[in-house]
Amino acid sequence: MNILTRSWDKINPLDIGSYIRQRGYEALQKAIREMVPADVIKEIKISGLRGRGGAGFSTGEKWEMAAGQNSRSDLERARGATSNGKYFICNLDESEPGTYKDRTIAEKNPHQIIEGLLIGAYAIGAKKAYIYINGNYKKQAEILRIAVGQAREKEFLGRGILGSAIDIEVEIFEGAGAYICGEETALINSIEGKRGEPRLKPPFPPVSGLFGRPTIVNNAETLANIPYILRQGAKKYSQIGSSVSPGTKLFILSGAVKNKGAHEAPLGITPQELIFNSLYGGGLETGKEFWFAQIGGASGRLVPAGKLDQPLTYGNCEYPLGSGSVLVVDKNADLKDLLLSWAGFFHRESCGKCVPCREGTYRLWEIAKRLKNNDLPLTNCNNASERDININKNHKEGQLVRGEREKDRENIEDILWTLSRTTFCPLGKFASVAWNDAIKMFGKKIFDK
Amino acid sequence: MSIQKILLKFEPKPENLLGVLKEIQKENGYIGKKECEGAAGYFSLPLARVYSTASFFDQMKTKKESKKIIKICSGGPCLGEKSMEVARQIEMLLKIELENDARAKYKLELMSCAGLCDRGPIVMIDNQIFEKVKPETVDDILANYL
Amino acid sequence: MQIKINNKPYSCEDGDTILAVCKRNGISIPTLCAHPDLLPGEGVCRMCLVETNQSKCLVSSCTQKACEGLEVLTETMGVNRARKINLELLWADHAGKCAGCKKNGRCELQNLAEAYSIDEFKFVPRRKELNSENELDMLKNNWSHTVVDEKNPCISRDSQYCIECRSCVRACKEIQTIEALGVNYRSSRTNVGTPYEIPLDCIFCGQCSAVCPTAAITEKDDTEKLEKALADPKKLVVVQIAPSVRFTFAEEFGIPAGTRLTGGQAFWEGKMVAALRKLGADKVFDTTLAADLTIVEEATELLRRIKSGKKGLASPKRSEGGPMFTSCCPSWVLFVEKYYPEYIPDLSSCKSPQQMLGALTKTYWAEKEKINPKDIVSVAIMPCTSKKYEAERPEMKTGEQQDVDIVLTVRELARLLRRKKINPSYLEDKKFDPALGSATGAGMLFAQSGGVTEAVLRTAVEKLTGEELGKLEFEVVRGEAEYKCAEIEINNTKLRVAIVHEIRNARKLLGEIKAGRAEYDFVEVMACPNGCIGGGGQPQPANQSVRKARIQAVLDCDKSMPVRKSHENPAVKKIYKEFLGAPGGEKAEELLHTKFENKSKS
Repeated sequence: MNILTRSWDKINPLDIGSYIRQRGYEALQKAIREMVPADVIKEIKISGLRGRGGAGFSTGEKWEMAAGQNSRSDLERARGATSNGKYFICNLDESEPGTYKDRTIAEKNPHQIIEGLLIGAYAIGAKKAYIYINGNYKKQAEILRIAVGQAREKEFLGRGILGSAIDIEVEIFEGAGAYICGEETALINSIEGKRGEPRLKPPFPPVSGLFGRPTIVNNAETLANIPYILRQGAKKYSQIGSSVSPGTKLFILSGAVKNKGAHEAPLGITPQELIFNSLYGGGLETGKEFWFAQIGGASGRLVPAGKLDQPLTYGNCEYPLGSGSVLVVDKNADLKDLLLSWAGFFHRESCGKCVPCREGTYRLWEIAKRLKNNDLPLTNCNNASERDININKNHKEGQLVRGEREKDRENIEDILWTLSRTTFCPLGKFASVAWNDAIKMFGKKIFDK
Repeated sequence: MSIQKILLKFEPKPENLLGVLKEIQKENGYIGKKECEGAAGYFSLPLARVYSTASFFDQMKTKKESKKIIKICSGGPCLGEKSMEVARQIEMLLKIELENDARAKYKLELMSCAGLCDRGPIVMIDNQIFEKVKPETVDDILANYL
Repeated sequence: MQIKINNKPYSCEDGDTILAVCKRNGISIPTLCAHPDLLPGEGVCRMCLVETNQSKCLVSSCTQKACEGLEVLTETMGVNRARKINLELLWADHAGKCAGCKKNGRCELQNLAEAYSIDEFKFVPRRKELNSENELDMLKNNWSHTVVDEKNPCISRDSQYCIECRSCVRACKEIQTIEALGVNYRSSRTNVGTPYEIPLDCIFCGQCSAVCPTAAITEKDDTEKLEKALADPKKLVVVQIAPSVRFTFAEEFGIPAGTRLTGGQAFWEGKMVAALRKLGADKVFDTTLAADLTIVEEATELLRRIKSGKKGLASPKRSEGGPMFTSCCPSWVLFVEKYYPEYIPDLSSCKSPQQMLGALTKTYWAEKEKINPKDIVSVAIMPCTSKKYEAERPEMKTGEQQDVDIVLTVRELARLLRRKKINPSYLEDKKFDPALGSATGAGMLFAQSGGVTEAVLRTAVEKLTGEELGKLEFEVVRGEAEYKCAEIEINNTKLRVAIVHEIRNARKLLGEIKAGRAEYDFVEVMACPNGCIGGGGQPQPANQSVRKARIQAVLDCDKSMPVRKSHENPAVKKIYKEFLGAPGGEKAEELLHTKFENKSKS
């Protein structure tokens, strides 16, 4: 079942004509000519589409919240406001390790995203839309820019779309390198020229977002589903995939799996099938033995061989699928490298706002480095000096003192505990997920060496 | 391009600040105090606010970097493609230590995922990206780009 | 609405946070970033966490609003574990450093660490000022760079103690709209500081140090300077005490704000004099006397401006002159010099009371006592960090001598006394030295916002009408409102006054004047909340209710004073007669007035 990847092979991303020939922008025309915004929202609600960024919130409900907010007053507009008061943002700040689904869509079929974005902006009454793209995706930003230009020429966006009285401006906004800006309020802050730190919620962006106005932030993949839903009907879409979260999903397979890369599969598929079915992963690379899989990037859980039969949905499931990337780890992998990779990632990417995340991810990373190098904790003394470093070296060469490593383990458990429960935004929790699983599953291996 | 020229390309609206800073970074290599003051004046913002934004993001530097920075991706997929072996090789070739820049001309750092996992391991020198780097090929890259 | 906290029902309003409800009802919740003077924060310290029936995670009580059906538990195992772990994470850079720290015993982090029995050394400290080559190796172990900024006379910053609670950033932005400080970088490198680590460039009001829970931002410590002067047998140490200080000093020794003796005498005035004498001060004078002088001079200046036709001055056309602004708050003066230099001509040319008393000490009093002014060390005990800067201004000189040599804030004096094991509680009251030691109620009013105006009115109205005032209180200029204006009718002309405190309000007022929406003849500005009583050097913690209590003490004190008009201060009259001549005269002009300078960057 292909929705997202449908006719990718027939489309030239630099030529809007090739997209139009594949029934591109039909959905936009239908929305603008035949539907009022409330109809569009109703249709999306019926489809059961859920956000593909990871949290899986109902897209239709989100839109409805923003649509219900009043537009900017005339007074505010007179004072030079840039928009009629609502914003629609496509979140393409993809930076979850091991995830490049949105990038793939942008480079294969940029108009699919733009069309979804325009329909969304129309539905909530936004006159300004942004595509917030990861600052590393320079080539894709260029592709999108060209696509926006071509769509403007065809009157799909800009002033008076398709001869109607509707104006929607689309701007490509390039990020500057910060994982946390994938969080919608941090993303909004960074557009406003502020530090990309998450904001306090409530108010949620659909009520008060960019410049304090109602704002929808939708993941690029979510938007790429919209044209299909309007074209084929919500009913048809809702029957694809699983009942709690209909539709298909782009999964990214990486690691020790044979067919790496992007694979579209219906939601509700099991990791087992994704990894071993020849339609998708095709099993492990020759000579490699499955150890565990990590679902959803660095912030995802670890799935052991015995649990691969749990369906992946946005409902309440044991292994949330997050961004939908699947890292297959084989038995030869170095777990301590992975631990260090996760800890280092979240340490680098913590925005520094709240104590448990700023200090906790740092300490976790510090301990991960020690575990990796088989170092012991520095003697706990105020002025750690060369003397202490030497003591540490001696420890390393000589006998490990039991109890020292125990201390590390206790500290890790404390840090993971506070990260998962007390941080300002979900990043802290993300940082603890894989570590928690690793310690539960392989604690002995980590601490007993 | 002078800072004034860069500034005049943008309207002084808050949503343009990040773009201005990125452009300064691109032209100047870093965002120094003078440039930051120029941007702050143009956008009518306090210097402290512009600096706190500029220092937040990976792709902008607020200090002139005298060292060549080599970054290597530590994401799971790149690890699976032996990025750590590449790191070891770089350490050996340049006689430096990962994440320790005391007294060296080069700095070897780990970086966060750049979304190029299908082309890993990824190595980045200054802002140039190298894909599918192997321990065997890293010598050539270093020889050519350092 | 009712919510349940620890299984007991409490009533609350819409919009109340859990923390607010708890505070109102005496349920203690630890906080490090929820300073009551600041706008509601975002809950960055994660100390006020509580358990609720509405969330699986712990929530920060300072941000969670009360809602129907909410049930809160403030002391569960989980809550305490979370607080303890988060404290431990912060404690790493404080462990073992308390004994030598300025804030020892008065540090909010230390208090919490004690309350939650934090292990001294659980994590390795990671912040250190890196000075030598050798220490570069430390980088490997992730020592992060620490900023120590002592490059201004008023405020010290040492980022190794910083816990990134952001209170100072918010105070600087919300109260003063200066934004000299910001949150920089991210992850574990996040630091609170100035852009590009430039030395602090602000108005030195010290509100950042007043809200800092640790020793990351403190008043610059000049106690050693004073000790050195006291130990020098050749020097004569003359100390003056600012009006507001006597109303707050006792708080440093554990006495609640606003407590005073029956009869309304400014509490601890006598004890402060006694403590300073015990410390070794040769003379103790009262700045309040100079406040009276300031009033006489300022009223003369105002009347002169009115008579010279610059009346109804606050015209949008700058050529016609603006209102007369007070100049006794050095942070306000610095604000005008740095950000609104076009208003410099409208600042009163009077020196502040501190500088006037310093100048008189080294001229009038030195001559009278036949002392070489070079042998005098003039010390001021002030509520304010900015006074340190003012004392060092090159304009503030009489001949070769700075008017004032050393300025200590209330907190520093208390620290010095504690170090010397002098507790004023146990001392018998002493009186000021009479030469420069008499005060009026009007002078005392300087301690709080609106006081200067009221004192000026008491003098100016009498001088204008030539009649004695019946009622001395000008209620229209009293109260804690942040922006007060009033019209006072004198001989059929209206004197339009405005009073603001906190620079954000001063900015608002200047905007109104500039836009031609407001016109005033006399404007009083104090940079700190409620004026000097909320100064940056006052005892911590300060908040609205503490300041309210302090203000009441000031007003009561004024009421109880035998003389309540500045121009009737017998010592003031005597000084004019013996030394200065007439108010606004040549000698007064030379010693008691000054000039200001454009310090703006553009």
